[in-house]
Amino acid sequence: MNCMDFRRITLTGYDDHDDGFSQHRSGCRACAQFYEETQRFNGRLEQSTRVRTPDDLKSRILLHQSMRLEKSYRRMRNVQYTLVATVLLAVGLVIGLLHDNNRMNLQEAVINYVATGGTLESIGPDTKAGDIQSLLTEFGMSMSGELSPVLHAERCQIRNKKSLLVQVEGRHGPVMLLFMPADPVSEPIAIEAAYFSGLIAPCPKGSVAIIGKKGEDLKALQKTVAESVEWF
Amino acid sequence: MWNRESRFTVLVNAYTDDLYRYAVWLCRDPAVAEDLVQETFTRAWKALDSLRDEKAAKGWLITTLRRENARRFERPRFEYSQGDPDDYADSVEFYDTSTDAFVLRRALMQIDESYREPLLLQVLAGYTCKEIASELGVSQSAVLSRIFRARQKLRDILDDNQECIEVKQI
Repeated sequence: MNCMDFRRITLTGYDDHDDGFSQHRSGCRACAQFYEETQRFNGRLEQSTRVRTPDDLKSRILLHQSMRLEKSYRRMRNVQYTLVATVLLAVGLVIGLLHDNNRMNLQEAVINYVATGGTLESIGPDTKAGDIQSLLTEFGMSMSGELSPVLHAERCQIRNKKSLLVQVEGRHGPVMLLFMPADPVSEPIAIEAAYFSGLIAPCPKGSVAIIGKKGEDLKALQKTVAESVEWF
Repeated sequence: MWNRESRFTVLVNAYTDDLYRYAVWLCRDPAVAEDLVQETFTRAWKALDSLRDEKAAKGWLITTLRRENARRFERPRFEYSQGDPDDYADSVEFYDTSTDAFVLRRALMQIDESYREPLLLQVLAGYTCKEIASELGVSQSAVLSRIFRARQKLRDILDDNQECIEVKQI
């Protein structure tokens, strides 16, 4: 290594020195002196350019960052809460819609059914005896005695549950018997509406609503149903 | 394994002083330097996962700071002073308050920025020529030449100053 290379490295290489550099430094007094001067100058330069960092700069940076973090956590939490609330609301709405009819009490559901869908006018006899029998069997029962003849029978939905409508002849016109196997009651419930009256009575499988025109002897009908329907 | 917050706190504690010092010399305004350091750490936080090697942290932060400094000139709504050397010296709190250091700082301010910056990267950040070349996007020979000239100019200015002082003393 010659003097020019040595001085170039001294000025520009900082601490990037190899063996050749060290050998030249110990062999050349002028270059060694140049090296010492340069090192002193570097030291002066380094010392002179030192500035005092504002005392609170680090804390401000950390505080600023923690506030940003807190803000983003809060935003994230809000999004999560909103999502949870939305999901809960949606689930609530769906459950509400699905079970709207279920929430209606049994008494209201029967009145609603009779007032809107059922009829106390005679609609039979248009159901074949065989069909009636198979429907009764489907619901696990058979009828005999005083309730015959059955004028009409069909499946229906009360509170979204499968039920059976059977129409028989009463004293004042057709009487509707609504067998509701999925809706048991513990004691008879009276039903009063403008044009009809009835009761919901317990039976071995769920309950049965007996609906007739005003003046129909519902107690007697309840007794007849209990005697004439055989459950299996 | 450290979490992000711990890593960040370590970086802030380890490199704030170096970054602030470099920023002060880069922008010549202590208030702007503080903003630059804060903004640098904000960006560092966002990109913290990309820092794989902690040893490279200082270089990474300095690169970020230089980019932030360049970015402030892209924002036309602010006017930044280029810093009169005297005002600058008054507003920055230097450790070394000797006349010698004052003269040296003034001399450093007088040399052209294209020469000063490689020298500052070498002296303040401890970068090698190769690292400076990569940071500034120039060749290593250009870095060598600039550092060499920066030192020469500094010496010239300081020699002139010395002569003036000696003449005054006579």
